[in-house]
Amino acid sequence: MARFKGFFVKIFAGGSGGGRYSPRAVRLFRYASAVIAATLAFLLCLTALGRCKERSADALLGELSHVFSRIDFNNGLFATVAGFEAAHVFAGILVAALFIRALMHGAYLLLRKGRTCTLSTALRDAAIAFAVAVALIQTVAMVGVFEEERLPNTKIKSLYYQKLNDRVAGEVAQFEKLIPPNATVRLESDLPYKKRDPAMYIQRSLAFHLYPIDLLGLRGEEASCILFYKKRKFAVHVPDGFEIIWKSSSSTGIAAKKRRAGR
Amino acid sequence: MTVFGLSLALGLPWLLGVAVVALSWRDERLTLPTALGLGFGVGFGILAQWMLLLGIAGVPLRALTVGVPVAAAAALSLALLIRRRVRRAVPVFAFSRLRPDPLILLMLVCLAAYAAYAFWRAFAFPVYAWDAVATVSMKAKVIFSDGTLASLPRFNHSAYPLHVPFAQAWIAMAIGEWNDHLVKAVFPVTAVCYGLVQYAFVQSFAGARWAVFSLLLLTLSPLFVHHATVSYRDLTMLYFNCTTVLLSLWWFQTKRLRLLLLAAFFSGFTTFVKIEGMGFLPCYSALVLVMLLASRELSWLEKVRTQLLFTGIGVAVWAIYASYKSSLGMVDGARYEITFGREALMRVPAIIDAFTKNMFTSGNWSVVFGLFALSLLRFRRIWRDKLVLFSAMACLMFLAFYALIAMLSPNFVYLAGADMSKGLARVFLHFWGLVPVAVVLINGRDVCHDISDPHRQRAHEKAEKAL
Repeated sequence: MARFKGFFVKIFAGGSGGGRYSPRAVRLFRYASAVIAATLAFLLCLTALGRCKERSADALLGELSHVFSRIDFNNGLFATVAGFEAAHVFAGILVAALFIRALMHGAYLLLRKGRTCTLSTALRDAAIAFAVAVALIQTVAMVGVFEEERLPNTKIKSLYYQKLNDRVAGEVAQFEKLIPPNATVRLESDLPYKKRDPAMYIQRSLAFHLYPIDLLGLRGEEASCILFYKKRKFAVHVPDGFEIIWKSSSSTGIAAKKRRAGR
Repeated sequence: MTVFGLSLALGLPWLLGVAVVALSWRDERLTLPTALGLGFGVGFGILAQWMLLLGIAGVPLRALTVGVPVAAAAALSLALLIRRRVRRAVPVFAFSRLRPDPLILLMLVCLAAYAAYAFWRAFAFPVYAWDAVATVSMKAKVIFSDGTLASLPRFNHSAYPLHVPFAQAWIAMAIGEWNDHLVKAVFPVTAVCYGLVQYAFVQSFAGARWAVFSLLLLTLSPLFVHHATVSYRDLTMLYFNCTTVLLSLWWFQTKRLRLLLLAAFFSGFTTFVKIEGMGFLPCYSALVLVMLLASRELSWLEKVRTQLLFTGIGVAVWAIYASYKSSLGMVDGARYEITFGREALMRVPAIIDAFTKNMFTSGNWSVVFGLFALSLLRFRRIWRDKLVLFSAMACLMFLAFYALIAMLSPNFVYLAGADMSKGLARVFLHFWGLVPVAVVLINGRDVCHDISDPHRQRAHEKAEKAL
């Protein structure tokens, strides 16, 4: 019984055993107690959430591992876990871990005399163990995102613009064959590319992929071609002095300046 | 050929930077993470300024005109370095060994997974992110294709600084073609280099285990990892901004002037990454001023000289592009209009709400801002150690800086208004690297003096001796 008590004091409370153990062993006890506090906090909170919202542990773990995957280049959104905002769940787990570690520290002081780490060190260790546990969850989540992003037809939200960009790049490959390199081109479109996304993005993506064909007038030259892109019945909008050189539908085509006779 | 070109594109400026850092280190032991981490920024900073000068002078920006002088400078610096080190019998690099234990190994596995993912994602997807397609990589492609800066004034955001477009254009020049995937190579490398700088700094003051833990906290931000894979300028801003602050703190602790000089150059390079860099210059100067006031061992004359030197170098680097911009009339004036009075005060609740929500309940920073807030409660410990105090102060200073910008300028819309989902997290990313450092220094510095942990104390003493 006394042995068991000693073991409990060493492992669960992270004590130094009154200076009987080597520094390495003391550090190990401290780590072990911090890990136990964090693990207990995770288990307690998951059980409480499961009971409260009638979810299985597997489902909750699945939700937790997807918390960090809703990220794009501007912002990341925390998902919810069992209907609660994930940040609140994590805060709850952290507070529980600190509370459990404080209880363990108190238990050590009650059960055994001798030197131990301070309460603030014990709490800090528990917070670190919690952070490492979150890092592990995030790493698992990242592997999940990686698997999802590798799929050819992935519907992951952060890749919305990538899909759009791919589509535009495919169309540009066709335009590039018909427009002379280094030409200056004017864009005519019904898309609200000066006001709203995704039209704004499409126009910029077209300009990016077409360059050195200049769609933005960066060289300050007069346009020698017109790119009609999603412009309904574009043929009626072709100005004098231009002729249609290519047409893929009634809304997309290219017009170029007419060549003067004799040249 | 492409692999060779990419290696050349990254390796040449990096080599130059490493040689310059090693030269500036003189007789002390320079660890490999420090050399590689700082060398990347110095090399690419010099390269970007060189390309700017060539562009201003009207010299065509081609692989030879850009690369040959950089290669020559790298060769010269290396020759000087080898000569000096051989003569003084000082090894070029010192290697600090990391004693692996299960906790460190676990953290290293996570870090390796993050790094592998960042490199994979950077190369797997082409340039596609919004601002990349609209401005950053677009400018790079124009500079690469035209070889001049002539069309710059006709861009929508013509006044934006050019460090990142220059870096991408340089990669394309070295490869010999524009490649939507390979021009992004610079971003994961920047993230890794910042990790090396942070590791070197924290390792010097709190030991290797805490340094690895600080890296784990750094990568806990999904936004940081995501930005290592898309061609935005915010990660580069993080690298230069945080390195400036870390070098300043390093100088404060060791009082080696060359560290502050490096910090000054980094502060100048920061102004060439994003417009906010210009606003950071007074912040750096204020931080250095406070540190100088706290340095009792320096005379007043030394303090004044040091402050002038630091601010002067930063302003000088900033002035090159600023004067070029104003000569062409490229100003982005609308965003600088300042509003005082009731309207500004009315914004305060919205700013507090937006900032706290982003820090504590968004998915950008995981739980690290929470840990930072908890760590700040240990104010006695923070107050006792000046290094810890200044590291925490630096984080709060940048928070206050952006709060002030939101309060007084039309940027309120992007920082706490209707469009805050587009801007706020990205500006927090600029000083994100300082948050894990502050958390670790607040909680880790004391352990070095904790008699229950002699291993850490020995490591700390060793690091102090090495310095």
